[in-house]
Amino acid sequence: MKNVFYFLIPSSFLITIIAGLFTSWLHRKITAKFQYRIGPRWYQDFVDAFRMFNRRPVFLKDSPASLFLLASALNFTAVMVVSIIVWFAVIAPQTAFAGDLIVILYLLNMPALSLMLGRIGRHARLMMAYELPFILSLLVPIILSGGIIKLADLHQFKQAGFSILRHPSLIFSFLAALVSSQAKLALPQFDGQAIETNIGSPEPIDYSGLALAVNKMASMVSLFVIPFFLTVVFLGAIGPRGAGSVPLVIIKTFAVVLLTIIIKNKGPMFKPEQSLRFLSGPVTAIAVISVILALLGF
Amino acid sequence: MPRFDVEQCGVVFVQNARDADILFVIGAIIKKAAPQIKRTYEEMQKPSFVVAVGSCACSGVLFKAGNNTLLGVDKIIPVDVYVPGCPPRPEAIILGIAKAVEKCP
Repeated sequence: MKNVFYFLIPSSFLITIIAGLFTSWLHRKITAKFQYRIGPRWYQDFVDAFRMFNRRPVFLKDSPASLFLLASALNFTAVMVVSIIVWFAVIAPQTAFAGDLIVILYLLNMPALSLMLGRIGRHARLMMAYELPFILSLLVPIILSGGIIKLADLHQFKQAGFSILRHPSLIFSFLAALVSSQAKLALPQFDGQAIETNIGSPEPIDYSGLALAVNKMASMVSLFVIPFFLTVVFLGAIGPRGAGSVPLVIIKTFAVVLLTIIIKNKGPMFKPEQSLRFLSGPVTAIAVISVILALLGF
Repeated sequence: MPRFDVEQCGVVFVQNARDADILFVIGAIIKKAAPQIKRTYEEMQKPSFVVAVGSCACSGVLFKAGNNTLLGVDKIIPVDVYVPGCPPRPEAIILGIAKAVEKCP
C-alpha cells in the first residue's frame, strides 16, 4: 500500500502539472483558431510558467505580502490535492477514503477564496450563483448509486453498467455541472472581466512574482482538473471497465476540455448581472429537474 | 476579425507593468502624460524594453509645432525599437514586437 502512495503521489503531481499546462495551451491555441489567428507554439505555456517563476515578487508598500503568498499556495495546493484524489479514485481505488467527494467540493472553492483574498470581490458573487447548481448536479450520481459519496466507489459503480446514456437525469446534471464549471474556472464566459486582452481588467495586481506564478499555475492546472473530475463523476461508465479505462478517462477528459473551449468561444458572453441570473435561474432549474428525475429513478 | 497575431511570437498581455517585459508606447506623448509613462517604465523589472509605435511616438511629427507635445517618447525613456508609420501597418508592428522579443533574455 505504501509503495503505491510513494509512486502515485509524485507521478500524479507531475502528470497533472504537465496536463494542466497542455490544457492551457489547448485553450489558447483553439481560441486563436476560432479567431482566425495562428496562436502560440506547443511549448509556450511551459516557457511562460518557467518565466513567471523566475520573476522577482514586488509587493505594494503596506500590503500583507505573506497573506498573498499564502493564499496562492493554498489555491495551488487545493487544486493539486483534488487532482491526486481523482487520480487515486481512477488508478488505485483501494487507497481512496470515504467522503472524498465532499472534500473535493470543499477544496474546489479554494481558488475563489484565494482570489477574494486578492481583493477581487466579483468572485464572491459569482460563487454564490454557480455553487448551488454545481452541488445539485453532483447529487444526481450519488442518488442514482444509492448514496455513495466515495469517488472511487462511484467510479467503480458507474463502470458496472451505470451510464449517462441510460439515465436522462445524468445528462441534465452533466450539462448543469459543465456550465457551472465554466464559471468555476473563471472563464470569460461568465467572468467577462477576466478576458485576456481586457486593458482595464481588475486582475490580481496584489499578486506578483512567485505569488502570481503560483496563482496562474493553479488556474492553468484547474483547467484540466475540473473536467477530469466531471469526467470521473459523470462519464466514467462509457467504454471498457477496470484498469483498461484509464487511457479512456484521459481521452474523455480532453473531450470535456474541448467542449469547454467551444462553449467559451461560441457561447454568449454574459455581463456580471446576467451571469448571476443565468446561473441561479435556468442552470439551477436544470440541476433541480435532474435531481427530481434521479429521485424518480430515471 | 483579428487575423494578425502576436501570440505566435510568445507575447501575452499583462495587466501590471511589474510583470511586463515590453512596454508599448502608442500615439503622441502629451507633456501631462510624460510622468506617468516614466513611472510605468520605472515600475517594470529590468531588463525591460520599449517599443515606440507610430510616427508620433517615434518623433512627434504631426504635433511638432505644438507646445504641449513631446517630440518622441525617447525624450523621457530609452526606446529599443521604433515602428514608424502613420499609422504603421500591422505587419510592421508585429515585426517591431518580434525584434523586442528577440532582445528579451
